[in-house]
Amino acid sequence: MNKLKQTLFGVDFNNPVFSDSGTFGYGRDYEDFIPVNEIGAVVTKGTSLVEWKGNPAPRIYETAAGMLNSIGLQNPGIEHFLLNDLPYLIEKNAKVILNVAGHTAEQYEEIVTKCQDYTQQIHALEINISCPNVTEGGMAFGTNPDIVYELLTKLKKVSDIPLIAKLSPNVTDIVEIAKAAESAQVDSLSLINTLSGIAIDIKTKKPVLGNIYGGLSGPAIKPVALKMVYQVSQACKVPIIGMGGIMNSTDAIEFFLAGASAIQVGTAVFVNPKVHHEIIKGINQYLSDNNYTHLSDIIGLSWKE
Amino acid sequence: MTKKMLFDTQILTNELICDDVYLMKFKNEEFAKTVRPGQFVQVSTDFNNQTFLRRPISIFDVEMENNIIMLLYKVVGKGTKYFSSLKPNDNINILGPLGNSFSLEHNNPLIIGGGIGVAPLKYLVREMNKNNIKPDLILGFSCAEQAKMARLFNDLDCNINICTDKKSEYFHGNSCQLAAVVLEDNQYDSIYACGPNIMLQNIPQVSIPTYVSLEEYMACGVGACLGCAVKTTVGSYVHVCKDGPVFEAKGVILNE
Repeated sequence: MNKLKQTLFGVDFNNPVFSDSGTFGYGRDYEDFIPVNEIGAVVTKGTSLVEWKGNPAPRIYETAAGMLNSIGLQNPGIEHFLLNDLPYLIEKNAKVILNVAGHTAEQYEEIVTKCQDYTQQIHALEINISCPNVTEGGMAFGTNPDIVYELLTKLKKVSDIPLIAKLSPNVTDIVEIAKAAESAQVDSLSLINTLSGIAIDIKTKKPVLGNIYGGLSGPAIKPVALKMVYQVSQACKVPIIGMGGIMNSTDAIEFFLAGASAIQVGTAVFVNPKVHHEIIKGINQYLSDNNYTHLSDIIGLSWKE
Repeated sequence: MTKKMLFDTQILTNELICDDVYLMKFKNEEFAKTVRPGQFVQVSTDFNNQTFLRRPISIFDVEMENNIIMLLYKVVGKGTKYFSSLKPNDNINILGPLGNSFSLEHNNPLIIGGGIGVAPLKYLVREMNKNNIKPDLILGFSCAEQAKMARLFNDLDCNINICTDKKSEYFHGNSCQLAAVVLEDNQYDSIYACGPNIMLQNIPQVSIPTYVSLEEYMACGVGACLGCAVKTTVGSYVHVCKDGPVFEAKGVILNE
């Protein structure tokens, strides 16, 4: 029996270990190491209505146990995805979660509408209301509960594909945002996106990144992410997809214990292109060693009575 | 595109060449057979050292008969400092070969390297030698100590011209100044260059194809994260790890 099989918002996933948006392209870049059907789902690069060129270089800077990025959601646009990347993912039998990015509510709506011709091929839409690296849209939509509610209600009306709201940690109270999203009837919540940060070059005395600010990811942010999953999973009924600094199966198991029903692995894949496999194996081992019959037995155990 | 490999390997040697430059060797038959000149690898770092991302390092040379791969690197930060601490028989993890490679279609090239930017050029010259091409090289360094790197090119069939920024026994000036002199006296059909950005920006403007090998902060190395961006002359961004590291100079903006 597959102890890791997870059914979330009506979709069967072979395992709960997904790629993380922005670290995995559209699945092809790591095909020499991870066949896309062997991870739970491919969560794509944030995709906009038309091509976005992204931010000036440098876009990447390593920090203590983490990295800052300011890619700026560079992507080829939704039409390009539907024409060139979705067919590849379908052919390879992947579960597909498209990450959706927009500057305006109308742009989000138009992308979601365009996807409705692919209700069997795109298994969920992850609505990116949390990118810290774009000047319009992104995080601007994800930090005010009223705006979150309004946008997601609008999108939910036009979508037969399940919606996941990807939340930002750059807020005073993530539970408030999560509840607003849940009341807009979204099917799931994913958290967290990167934490807004900066690095300064002491030689030039100027910010390192071309965009000045970047999003912090990697092991440095794991305790923050874990806490937010711990809080939100207790406050909301929809399944939580947890992410933020997961480097190995121990980290992953902590997220399940905190209340996540699935996880995404991002920055770790840069270090170890086979990390998804190792995490899947490690979770299985943990369940066997502790005599659990299924992953669902451990979800939320850190706070359940 | 070459198939990417991921493997642990034992370091054979990790030798100090000059003050902060090291030559690391490892062995891998499949890798040696597939790697092309201009490509690079992502080498694992050590988390205990407060680093965790891999570091992109150029392929310096390949010793085909023994399947030995050589990496020439300069200590510039924590990652490369860690590499310099490694001893023979220590393990490293290699992701590669990555990126595109140098064109081998030209018969009379001028090759210009600046500082540690000489790193991807030796294997290029070796492959050119296989096609019976004996290129002219300009290798520019900050000082005579750094110019010791040039000795590593002595087993190749090429004409080496060395220059240093500080006065030494070599031509006094930077590699672009020496290139201007050499270009006046010779007819080349192409230029290949690797070095600091300021050097690449100052390569004499000539009408022949000019290829530059670029460096940028990098995370994934395989085209997934879109971190290592370089702006093109048409305003879009390309990525050093997947579209490069070798670009035609006329297509990219080096001083964005």
